[in-house]
Amino acid sequence: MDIEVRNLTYEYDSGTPQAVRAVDDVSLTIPGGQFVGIVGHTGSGKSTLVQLIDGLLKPTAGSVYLDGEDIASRKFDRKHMRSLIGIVFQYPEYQLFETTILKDVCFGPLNMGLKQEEAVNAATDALLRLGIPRESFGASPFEISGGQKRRVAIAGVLAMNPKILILDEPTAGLDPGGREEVLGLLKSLNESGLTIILVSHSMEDVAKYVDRILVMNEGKIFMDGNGKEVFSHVEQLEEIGLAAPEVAYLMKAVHDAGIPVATNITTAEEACGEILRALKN
Amino acid sequence: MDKFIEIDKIAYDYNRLDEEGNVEGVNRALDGVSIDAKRGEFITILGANGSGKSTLAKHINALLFPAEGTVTVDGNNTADEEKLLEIRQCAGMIFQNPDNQIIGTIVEEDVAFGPENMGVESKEIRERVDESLKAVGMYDYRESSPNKLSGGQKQRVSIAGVLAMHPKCIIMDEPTAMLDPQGRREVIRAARALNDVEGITIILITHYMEEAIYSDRIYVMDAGRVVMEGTPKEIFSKTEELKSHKLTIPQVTAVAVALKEAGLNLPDGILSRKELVAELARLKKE
Amino acid sequence: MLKDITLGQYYRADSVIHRLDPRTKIVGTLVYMISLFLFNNLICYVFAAVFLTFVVGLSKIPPKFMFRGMRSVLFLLVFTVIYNIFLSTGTVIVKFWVFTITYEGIQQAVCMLIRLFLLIVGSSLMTLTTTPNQLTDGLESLFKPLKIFKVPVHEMAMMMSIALRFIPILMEETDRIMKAQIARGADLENRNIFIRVKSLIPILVPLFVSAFRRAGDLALAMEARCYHGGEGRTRMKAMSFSAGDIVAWVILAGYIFAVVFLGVTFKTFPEFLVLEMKAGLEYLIPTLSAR
Repeated sequence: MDIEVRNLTYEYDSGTPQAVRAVDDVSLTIPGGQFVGIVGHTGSGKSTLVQLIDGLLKPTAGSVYLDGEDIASRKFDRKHMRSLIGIVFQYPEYQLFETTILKDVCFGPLNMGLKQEEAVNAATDALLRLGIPRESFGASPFEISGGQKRRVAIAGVLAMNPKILILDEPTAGLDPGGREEVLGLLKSLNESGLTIILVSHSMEDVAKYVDRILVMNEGKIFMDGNGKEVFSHVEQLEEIGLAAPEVAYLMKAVHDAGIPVATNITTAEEACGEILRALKN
Repeated sequence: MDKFIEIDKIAYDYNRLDEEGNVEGVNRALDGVSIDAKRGEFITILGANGSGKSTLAKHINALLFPAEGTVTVDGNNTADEEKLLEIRQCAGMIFQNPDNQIIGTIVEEDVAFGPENMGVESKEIRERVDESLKAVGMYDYRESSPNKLSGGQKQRVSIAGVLAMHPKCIIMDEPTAMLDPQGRREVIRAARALNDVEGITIILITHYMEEAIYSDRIYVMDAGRVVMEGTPKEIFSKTEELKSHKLTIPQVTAVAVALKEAGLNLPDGILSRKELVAELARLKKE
Repeated sequence: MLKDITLGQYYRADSVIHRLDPRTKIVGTLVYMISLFLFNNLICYVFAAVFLTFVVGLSKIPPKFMFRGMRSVLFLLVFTVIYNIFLSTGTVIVKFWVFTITYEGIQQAVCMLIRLFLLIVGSSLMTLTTTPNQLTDGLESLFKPLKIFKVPVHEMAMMMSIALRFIPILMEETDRIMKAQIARGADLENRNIFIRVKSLIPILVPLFVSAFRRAGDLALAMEARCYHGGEGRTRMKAMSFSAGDIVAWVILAGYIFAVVFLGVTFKTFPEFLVLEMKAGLEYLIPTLSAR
């Protein structure tokens, strides 16, 4: 399922003197199956943009199209919309409320109008995909570890079987092990055909996992390209308060020290290969 | 040098409660943990979520008390109730969530909270508040509402709030976990400045490896025990061992390790970009 | 939507009103509010409005900012006007279908409107010029005598200031949880009241869990900063009456005098109050002159 955003604008407090333009005339296309990273400093409009795509906010101007169909049109009633696009907010574990893990994950599917049995199946499927063992299904979602809570919350959205999954900082507050786990999972979901939009401020994570990076600044798309393209503009990124992954700086320093390495490197593995190649020549 | 903080083989249990609130069993959160810090040291405690590092932190300023073993801060045993306020004043604490530790509705009123509790005179509180806010670079925001600040700024206000109590040590319990990269840099910079300039002992608890490379010593915790101890160089040269405790190494160190494995003649424990570049330049000359 | 509430929002400025002791402002606001309820004709209200305009002018708060808080109570104002216009009895001016508009009704509506308007502007002037902490300090100090009756004055003041700090945070949190549950298909706009009440559970449970977690965190943070109740606590901004306060008290006394004068002239006070006042004066004057 392709997403197309045309001249999208969103203003908070629209029509008052305090109006703030959070998203400013953004146009872009995300083809189905892509793994997209959206980066930008706090307040750059990235969270607003994904809420507009999900239809949770109504744009001040412009439209969002799913497979060429305007989401404001009558064809997309709310339920249909929710079953197409899932959104996982920051610290999603704060939305858990049911007495058991399984019941909580069933909440979304039941709201979609699924029968109890179908909902349980969908929930079971999602929980297992996120590595929650069957034995824990009956446990209270408030008594499991932080990392598990996060995964249960993501399962709660995944169980609605969306075609597009949007995640806002899904790794915030997790330890390195937990971060790798969640990101690896997203990668595997993406490989099974899901479009993934990852909002993040970790350049290292984005560089390692996504196909395409959108850099946002002051409500506009500042850069759009793959990791190599984006992170070769270190100075421009720094101007808007962002940084490139640590290896990008390393390669630049190595290059400046007179070792002829390429500087458009974004992961540790690539960096290693490139340095070895340069030293051998 | 004298041991300013001395934690000797402490254990701590959380009670597991059943649905009626009766004690069902105990979870051992800390198990024979020993840690010490000298005056003016910068100590980092690393560990995955649930490794017991936050529980440990709360022992240092007498918010929790060990079931076994002793905690001594500047010569005072935390079990000594009469010294409670003295210990808390001497060892300040910064928590993870910036919103849940700011009490005042105006920045300067929050910073004044600690000294007010200690019964410091009005005029001196004013001086301490201004001084502390300047030390963390938040003086210009002294009359703002905390709700209007960024996460990094809120954490700096919290640090100022602790500084105004004139502590000798600050324990930071994952102060950067909820911040964006910009905020993380601000907080770590503030912590390092306090350690360098004011000589305040810092105990930083984190799971961001990059934040640990500046410390004097690192302790690694896993499942309620201290499993590794040493300088950053020593700790980060043991990649496999760190991985087994669900931790990683800083990215630059990872590149250095990979290069070494590929046959380059590099020393162990390279932490900074500068070190690695210098080593590579040397190799190129040879 | 939840962010529009101006009440409890401090407007930072350097003015004589800002510098006044919070106790002066609390007592002043109280007196002003009482005076509004004692008035019931236009001349009195014009006087009260002029007085308030004078104080607002001194406070250096842009009028635009003052009126922003009105938006959230607009419904209340409109309701009051409609209620009074249509539901008062008296001389009929217009009559159509079941509605009758009376002269008294319009008069009543205009008075109520002005009264509420002045009331809101007056009280938000206090919250805009006084930080919530100063406000609670002031209340704590004014209620101190109640300590004799074992009223936990300090604890109540502390609770109030913490509540003021956390209301905006919890509002934001509610917004966030609502969005998250809507994204999971929660139906918050259903016409059926039962479905709507049921759909509150996924919002209220996480909100309570979060509020309790925050409370726990905050208690720990307060303890870590040596909080041990009100005993032995000092204040950075110790309250003291300045020359400005003396001037303010004199003006306030003048205002009270004017209110009494206007009230007696236009007979706007309830009868029992007038009798009480007369009795009081009859007692006071001979006693004072005897000295």
